[in-house]
Amino acid sequence: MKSICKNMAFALSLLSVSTVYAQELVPEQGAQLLIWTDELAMDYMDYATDAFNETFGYDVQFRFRQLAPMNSAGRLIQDGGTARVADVAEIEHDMLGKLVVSGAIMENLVSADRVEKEFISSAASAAKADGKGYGFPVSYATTALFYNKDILARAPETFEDLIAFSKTFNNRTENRYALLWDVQNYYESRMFMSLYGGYEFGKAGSDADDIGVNSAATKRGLAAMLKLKEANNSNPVDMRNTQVRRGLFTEGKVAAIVDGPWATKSHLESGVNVGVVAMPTLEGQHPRTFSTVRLAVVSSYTEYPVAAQLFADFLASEAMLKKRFEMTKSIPPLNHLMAEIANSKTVDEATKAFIAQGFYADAMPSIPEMGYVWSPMANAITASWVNGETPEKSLDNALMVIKEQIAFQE
Amino acid sequence: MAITMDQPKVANRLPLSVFLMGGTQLLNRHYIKGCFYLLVQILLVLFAADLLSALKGFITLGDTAQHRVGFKIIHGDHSIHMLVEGVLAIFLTVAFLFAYLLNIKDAVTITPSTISLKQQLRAFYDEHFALIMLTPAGIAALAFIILPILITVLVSLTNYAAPAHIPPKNLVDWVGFRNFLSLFELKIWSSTLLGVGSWTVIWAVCSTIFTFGFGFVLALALSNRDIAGKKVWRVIFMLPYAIPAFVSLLIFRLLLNGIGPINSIINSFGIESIPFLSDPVLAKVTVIVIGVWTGAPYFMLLIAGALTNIPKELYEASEVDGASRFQQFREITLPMILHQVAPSLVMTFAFNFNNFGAVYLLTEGGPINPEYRFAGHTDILITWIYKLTLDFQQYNVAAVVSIIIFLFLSLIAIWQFRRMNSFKTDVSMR
Repeated sequence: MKSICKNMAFALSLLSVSTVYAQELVPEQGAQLLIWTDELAMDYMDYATDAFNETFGYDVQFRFRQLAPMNSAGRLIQDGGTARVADVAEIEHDMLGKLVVSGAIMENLVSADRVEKEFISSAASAAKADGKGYGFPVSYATTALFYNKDILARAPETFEDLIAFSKTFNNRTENRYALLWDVQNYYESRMFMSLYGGYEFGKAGSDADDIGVNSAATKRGLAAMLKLKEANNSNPVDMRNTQVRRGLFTEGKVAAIVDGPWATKSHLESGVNVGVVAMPTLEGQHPRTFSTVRLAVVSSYTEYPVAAQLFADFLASEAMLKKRFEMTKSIPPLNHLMAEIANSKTVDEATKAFIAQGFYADAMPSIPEMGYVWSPMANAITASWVNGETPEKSLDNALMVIKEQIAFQE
Repeated sequence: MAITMDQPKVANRLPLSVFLMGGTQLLNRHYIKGCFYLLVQILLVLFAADLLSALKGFITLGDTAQHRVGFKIIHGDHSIHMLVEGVLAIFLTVAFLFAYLLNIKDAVTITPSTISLKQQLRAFYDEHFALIMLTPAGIAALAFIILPILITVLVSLTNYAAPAHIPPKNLVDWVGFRNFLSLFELKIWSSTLLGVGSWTVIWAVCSTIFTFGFGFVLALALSNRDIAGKKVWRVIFMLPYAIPAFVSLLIFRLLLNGIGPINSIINSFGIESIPFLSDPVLAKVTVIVIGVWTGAPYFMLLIAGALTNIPKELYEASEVDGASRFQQFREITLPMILHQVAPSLVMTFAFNFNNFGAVYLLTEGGPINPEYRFAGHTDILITWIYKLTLDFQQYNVAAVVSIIIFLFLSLIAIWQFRRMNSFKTDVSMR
C-alpha cells in the first residue's frame, strides 16, 4: 500500500513538473540536425546553434538550409517520409493546423506549459492545435501603416484624413495614390472587415462551426472599406504585386502603404523619409489586423527527436529571443520582453508601431479550414470592390462556398 | 488445363512445368528458357509475401495511421505509397501469370532440344532480337506513361485532399465515383468546370486558328516575289520563336502591367491605363494575341516549307487560264497547304488546350472571377489543375479534371485524324 502511494506521488510529481523532466533530457548521441530558416535569420541561426552547444555542453551537429517559412510547411507535408526534410523548421503559424492534420510535425513535448504561461496570448494560442501545444513561438508580426513624411506632414490618425488628402493628391494617370494595400488579399483587407467585430471561425479563431464571414459586423466592415476606394482608386489587380506597391511608395508617388516588419529594413534603406504608425481609425473604429507568429516546429520524421525538441525550445528561450530581436528586429512574443521593448526609449519607431498595433490584432486562425477562406474572400472582395456587388451578396456567397468546400471534405 | 485437353498427343501427362516453372523445358534441355522460367518462379516465391501484402494494401489503402509513443513517432500506413505499390504489384502479378501461361503452353508443345547451350544462346538472340531491344523501352513506357496515368485515374477514385485526408497522419480511402458526381452536381464545382472548360475550348480554337492564319500571312509575304530583303525579314519573324516562350511571356507581363512601360506611355498622353491583364475580357484577348505572337513563327516555317512543295506549273497553268491572284490562292495554295499541315493543326490544338505557360506566366489565371472556385477569368483547365494540386492540395478533384481533359482531347484527336484526308491518302501528294 505504502509503495503504491509512493509510486502515485512520484507519478504526480512527474506530471506537475514536466519542465524539470525536460531539463533532464539530453540529445541523442551523435545527433545531427537540419534546420530550415529564412534568409534574414541565417546569421542569427548560426549564432543560436553555437550558443546551444556552448550553454549546455552538447555536441550536436547542425546543417542549414535557407527556405522561406511560406514554403517550409508545404515541403514538410509533401516530402516528409520520402526525402530528407528539416528536423527543426520555422513556419508561420497559420500553416500549423495543416501540418498537424497531415502528421508532418510533433507536439511540443518539452515546454508546452511554459509557452502557455509566459508568451503573449495570441502566440500561445497560435502554437496550439486541437488544444495541444505544437509550436515554439519565436517571433511576432502584424501589419502597420508606413507613410511618407515628405508627403504627409503628420502621421494620419484616421483613414478619413487619408480620404480627404486623396481628393487633391490622387491621380490615376500619374499613379499617385494616398493609400495602397493589397485589396484582393484577405490577409491585408481583413482589418477593415473586422472593424465592427467581424471574424472567421468563432471569437477564438478555432471553431469551424461558427463561420463569421457573413455576419452583420463583417458586412458593415466591408461597407466601410468600400469608402476607401476614394483614397485607393488604383486598379487592384495591378497592385497585387508587393514589389509594385513598394516601388511606387519608394518613388514618392504613394503617401501611405500597409506593410509588415519583414519590410521595415528595405523601407528604411529606400531613401524615403518613412514613418511607421499603428493603423489609423476608420469610422472611429480600430482596424483589427491579422497577427502571425513564427513558430519553430519539430518534424515527425526526425531521427533525433530529443535533440530537435531541445533545440526548438532553446530558440524560444528568453535569451535567444532577445538576441534575435537585436540581430533581426523580429519582435519577441514573450510577455515581459514585449513590454520591455514597448517602454524602451531607444527602440525604433517601426517596432513600436507593430507592438502598438498588436493590441488591435487577432491571431490568424490556424485551423485547417482557414485554407478555404482565402480564395472565397478574395472573390467576395473583388465582387464588391471591382464589380460593385453589395457586401451582403458577396459575403453570403463567400460563406456558401466555404461551407460547401468544408462539407465536400467530409 | 484447357491447353492439355486441346493437345491430345500429350494429354496423358501433366507437364512438370505446371508445378515447377521451366521444369519441362529443362528436362528437354532447353536451358535458356528453362532457367528463365525457373528464375521467375524463384523470384515469385521469394517475394510472394511482399506481393500479397502490397495487393492487400491496394484494396484497404492502410488501416493504421501514424501515431506517437513518448518521443518516438510510429509511422503507420501511407495510403498513397500503398496505392503506388499496389499498382506495381498488379503489374508484376499480371506479368507472372502471363509468364506462367506461356510456360505451360510452351511445355505442352515442346520437343527435346538437340543443340548445345552456346547455339541455344545464339538462336535465342536471333529469334528474339526485337523483343530484347524493345524491353527497356517497354519498361520505360510502363513506368513513365502507363503508371502515372493509371495512378491519376486511381487517385480520382479516392478522397486524397487537404486538409483531412493527407497521409501519413490520415488514411486515404476509396470513394468510387463520388468526385466525378460532385464535380458535376455541386453547383460551385460544376459552374467552374463549365466556365473554365468553355474558355479553354475558345482559347484553344482561337489561338490555333489565329496562329495558323498569321503564320500563313507571314509565309505568303516571305514567298512573294516582290518583297526585298527576305532573309532579314525571315530572321525578324523567327525571333519570337527563337526566344524561349517563358522569357517573352514574362516580359509581356511586365510590359502590359497596369503601371508597366506601355501604360506609362499611354498615361503620358493623359489617357488612363488600359487594363490589358486585369479586365476580364481584355485579359482574354491579350492572352490570345500574345499566344499568337509566340506561336505564329512555327506555322510560318511549316507553311513556308509546304509552299515550296506546290508545283510551279500549277500557277503557270492557272495564269494562262486567266486566274486572278486571289483565285490562285483559294483554289491552289490554300487546299494544298491545308492538306499538308492539317495534322499539325490538330496537334497544335491539343498543345494549346494544355498550354500552361501561355496563360499562367502571363496572367496566373487572373483577374479573379468571384463566381469561380479556385480559378480566375483566364484560367484554362490545366492551370486550374495546377492551382488545385499545388496551392490547394485537392488532388482528387484535380485527377478528375485531368481525366476529363484526357478524354476530351483523345476524342477530338481520334475524330479529327479519322476524317482527315492527309491520313487516308498520304501517298497521293507525291
